[in-house]
Amino acid sequence: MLLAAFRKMDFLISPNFLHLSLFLVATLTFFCSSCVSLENENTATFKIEGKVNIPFTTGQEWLTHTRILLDGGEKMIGFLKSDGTFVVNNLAPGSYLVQVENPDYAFEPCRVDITSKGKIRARKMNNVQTSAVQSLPYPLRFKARAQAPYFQQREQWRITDMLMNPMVLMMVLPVLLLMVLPKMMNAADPETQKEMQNSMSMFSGANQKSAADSFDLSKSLTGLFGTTSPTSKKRKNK
Amino acid sequence: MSIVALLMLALTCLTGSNHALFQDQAGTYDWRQQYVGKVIHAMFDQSTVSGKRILVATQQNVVASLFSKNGKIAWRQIQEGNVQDSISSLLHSDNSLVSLSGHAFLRNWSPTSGYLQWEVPVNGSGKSSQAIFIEDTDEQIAVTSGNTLYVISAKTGSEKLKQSLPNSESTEYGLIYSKSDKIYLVGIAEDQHVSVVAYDSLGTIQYQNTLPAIWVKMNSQCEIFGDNLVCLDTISNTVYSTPLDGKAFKSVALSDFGFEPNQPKLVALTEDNSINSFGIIIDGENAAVLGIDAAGVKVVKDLPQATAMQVSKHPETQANVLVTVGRRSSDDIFLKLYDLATGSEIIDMSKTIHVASHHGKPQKIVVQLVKRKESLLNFRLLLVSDDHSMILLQTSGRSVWVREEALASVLSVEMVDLPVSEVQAKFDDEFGSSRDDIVAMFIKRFKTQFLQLQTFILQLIDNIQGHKHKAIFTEGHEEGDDEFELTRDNFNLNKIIVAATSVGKVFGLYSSTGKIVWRHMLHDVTPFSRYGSPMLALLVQRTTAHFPHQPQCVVIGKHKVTGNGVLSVFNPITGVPVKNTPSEGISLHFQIKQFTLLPMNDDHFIKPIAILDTNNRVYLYPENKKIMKEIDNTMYMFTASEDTNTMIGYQIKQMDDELKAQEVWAANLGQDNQVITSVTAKKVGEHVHSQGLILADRSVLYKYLNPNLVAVTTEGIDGQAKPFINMYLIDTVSGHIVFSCYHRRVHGPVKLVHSENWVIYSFYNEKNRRNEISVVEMFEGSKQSNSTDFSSLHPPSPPIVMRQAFIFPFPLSTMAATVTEKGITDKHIMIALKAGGIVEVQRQFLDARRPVIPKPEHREEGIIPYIPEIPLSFEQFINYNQSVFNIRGIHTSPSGLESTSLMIAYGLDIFFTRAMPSKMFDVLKEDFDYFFIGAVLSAMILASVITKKLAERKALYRGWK
Repeated sequence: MLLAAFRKMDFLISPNFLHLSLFLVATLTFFCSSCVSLENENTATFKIEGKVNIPFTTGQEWLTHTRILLDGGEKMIGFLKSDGTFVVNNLAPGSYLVQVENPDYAFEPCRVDITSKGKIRARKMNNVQTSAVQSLPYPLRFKARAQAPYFQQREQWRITDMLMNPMVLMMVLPVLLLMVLPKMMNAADPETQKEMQNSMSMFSGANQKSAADSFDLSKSLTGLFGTTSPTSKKRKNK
Repeated sequence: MSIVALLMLALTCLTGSNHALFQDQAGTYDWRQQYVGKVIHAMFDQSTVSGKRILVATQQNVVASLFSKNGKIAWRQIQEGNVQDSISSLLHSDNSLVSLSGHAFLRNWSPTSGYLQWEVPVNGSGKSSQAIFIEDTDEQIAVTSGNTLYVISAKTGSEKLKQSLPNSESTEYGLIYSKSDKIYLVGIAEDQHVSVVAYDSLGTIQYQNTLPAIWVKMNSQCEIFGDNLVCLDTISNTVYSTPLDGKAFKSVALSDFGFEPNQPKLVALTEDNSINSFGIIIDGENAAVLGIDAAGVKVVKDLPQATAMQVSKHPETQANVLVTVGRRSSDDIFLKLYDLATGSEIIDMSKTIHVASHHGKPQKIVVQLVKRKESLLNFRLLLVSDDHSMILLQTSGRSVWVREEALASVLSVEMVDLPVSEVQAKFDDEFGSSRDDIVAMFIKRFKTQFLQLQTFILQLIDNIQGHKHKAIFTEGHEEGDDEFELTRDNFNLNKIIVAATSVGKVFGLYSSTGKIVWRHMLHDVTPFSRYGSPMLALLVQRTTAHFPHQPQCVVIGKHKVTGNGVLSVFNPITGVPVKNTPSEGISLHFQIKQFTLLPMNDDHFIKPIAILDTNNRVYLYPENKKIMKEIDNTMYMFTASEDTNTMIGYQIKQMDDELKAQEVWAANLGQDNQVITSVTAKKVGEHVHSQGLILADRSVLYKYLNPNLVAVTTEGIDGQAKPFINMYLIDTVSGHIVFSCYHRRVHGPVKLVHSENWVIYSFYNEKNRRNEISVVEMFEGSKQSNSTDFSSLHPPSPPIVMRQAFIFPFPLSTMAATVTEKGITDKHIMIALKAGGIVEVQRQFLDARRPVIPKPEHREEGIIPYIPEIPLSFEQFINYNQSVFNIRGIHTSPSGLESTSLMIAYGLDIFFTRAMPSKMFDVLKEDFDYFFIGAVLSAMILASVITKKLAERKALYRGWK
């Protein structure tokens, strides 16, 4: 129970999907054009621009299923045009969390700071160290990395999985040895059998009975390989 | 031996997974319904094949396109903001669909695909605004918003003209009209005058005039019809009219026409207001079409009983055809067509159409007239009714589809168990009565068992033949005959979801499919306002458990006109009002201040409701003398006033046959301009299975389980203009503040979950610009003061309070905790994200005891070390890609299975699913491999038989040796 709890915890605490793929995003190529700000006469308002790209899709369906939410989209939302670009207008200077909302694909959220002079800076969202700056290029470019993995893979029962399980191996092999080897020994020629019996009697004479069984086995094994199948041994060594 | 071990291994492998969905499970027990909201603008799509789709703009700030064939959403765009920022104009021509939202964005959508073509921000949010196509061109759009005139190219969105309007301090320009290359703007200066300004296409003023009008108000209904300005003053019920370049208003009282006006309303007959006539709804029941000419306003056509009208062009003669609808009887509406010029009725088109009474009166219609070969007129009519529903009607009078848009404004939800099947009920009946003699009982017994056998065989046959009797609902048909029987399933997983909406319409949904089982409209009911949001109460007075008594629910609201309380009592399974109560609900003669469901039953197993009125008198519904006596002196109530921000506790006392509430304590939470933003009590009837936590040293940490505790949050602004939040935990019997905590530089909205001995609430940290969730847990300590009952009057020593705050990575809209039958199962927190997901977070992550420095004993107890951020993985999104937006609430309900909690999230969309917080520990997994287990078992039996035989043989041989 305890073990299970910690295993689960490990899984969940390990940097979540978004964080995991930070480095992936860093490797993406960005294009940057000059930062544009729009100033009205009365109150200075600015805009955030960018582009969303989902490489795996065709068609225009995804355009209406994708929105750009600023701070959750209560007051500011950007909508996509047919080419995937967006502009969020009417922004006061400040800092905004920019999220791409799409039901099927996962995007990295980012933070955009706009100074009162209209300078715009994009950086990675960091909720723990909120002042840390890991800058991203502006205009923003969001690229879908993969389809969001909402579903768990169903575990399929495969015979190989089970057989390769170390526990199973640990249990099955001795059983096999226990059951198969005596038979093999029986099948072996009388000479070796005699030899075995000799060694067995020698051994049992020297040691206790209970410990003898296992020792006897291993010894007989070496004896078996050593005498009857040198060719197979060679093959194994190759 | 080894095979058994193998089997055990295989089983442990199977059970060791976490709680996410499998792909093939998607949609098997969850469902989503998408809505658009209350339609305010609608038109038939002209861009592709005419009339294939309907374009709508709604009060919820949604622009959408619906297929006119089946009413499904072709595309939908949810704009920012809430109900107040609705869309003021929607324009459509060929390849553009332009919406002007109250949040001051002019956006052009592609009518076919719904993507944005261009967006122009315009001044002035929240002020009156309007957009029109400039006459004859359709290429330019003129907008007035925030006292600025814009002329914008419809194709590119580029700004052709931007002009501040004169006298904008006192005048608000909300009307715009274009006529022969002039743009007219009409502004209102409250109680003073109406100004008219005309611009040419270059932005120079061509004409300016102010018309004195001392009666005019900011919310006066003014419209431009043709070249005339018409204002309706609802105080004196007078229509004022003037030509746009006129010098003064001509007034005419509505009573002069012989009308008896009551809250009259102006109605535009066409989308572009280009004709010189307009409609007027006189008293909500009758209407008329008025025309304007040089002499003033005159009646063109009196339309008794009509409540919605529109003028549409005749496809052949291009004559204006007036289409009117109204309710004729409780089951039918009538449709009448008139020639607007002559006023004569086109008799062969008049119809009576069946539209059920729960839709109420028609509010708005959009008509498309089409010509057929036989020179007969055909039409398609979109009908928007009082209950926000959309119905598409065809010439034959058949309704093609119905959209119940009221479900986009659900305010409260309850889940009610379905009744047991007839056979089961009979079985209960058998043991219920002991009056029968032994022979009668034997016969009864025999009969019921025979019936049980019969149904069992029938079910078996059914199962073999495949599910034929799945929910049969006749879609499209308004009054679909419910052919499937509503009976409880084995695990009580399927229920009736009762949903009360802000329009006063109550729905019963079948939880396994989401289909509407019944609906009932409360025409006079409107929600209360509580802490800035609407609230309609829904309480279960009697559950399904008391057969043969029917379950009973009650909706508590207030009357639209009088403001007095209204109770609607109904059977939640059928939606039928309880006998001897009016279907419109019981109108009380007082205003409701507070109400509560009492914990005790009356003789008919009904839990009475105690209602506190504004004079501090307490009423019981249903009245009951015995219970009155029972609660005398022992019952307490509290109120949290929105206006005074004070909480007051009352003790209920009986005085000469009536109950009075006597004030016992008061707490002013409104200091420093704080405002109460939420009051959350624990869920009624919540089971807490374990009274404490077992610590690593085998001692017990007892939970502080105070059933009278409520969590109250207040928000305010401090001296440095920084926002702050206070959270109080108050014992509502004694008024004792058990715990309070203060958060600096954070603001709401605070979403709070209160359950067992803990409170979880979220807020926005302004300093660090992130969402945070705070957890408060209370413990009595290692000793429990009173293990049988909790008494607020003799409280235990102050609880040990542990708290912790966490970072939540994304903006969230609401939270709820899962609830199960016995409370044994873990609790998970359901969090609705603003980006459309619903995340299930384990309580272990929202645990106030998570240590910063973990010790071995924490590990033994299974407490996760403290990490500031709550990790989220995609597998926690229980609604996978079925995003739901603007979620206002999540309701959870137990099912018959301890492991399973039912959950419904409601907002603009509705999503229902089952949650299994501790996995399905009481049911075999659905992918349980019966075949494999069976094969292994039989193989083992076979092997044991064979080996036994072999062993016997071997023993025999050995014996012979």
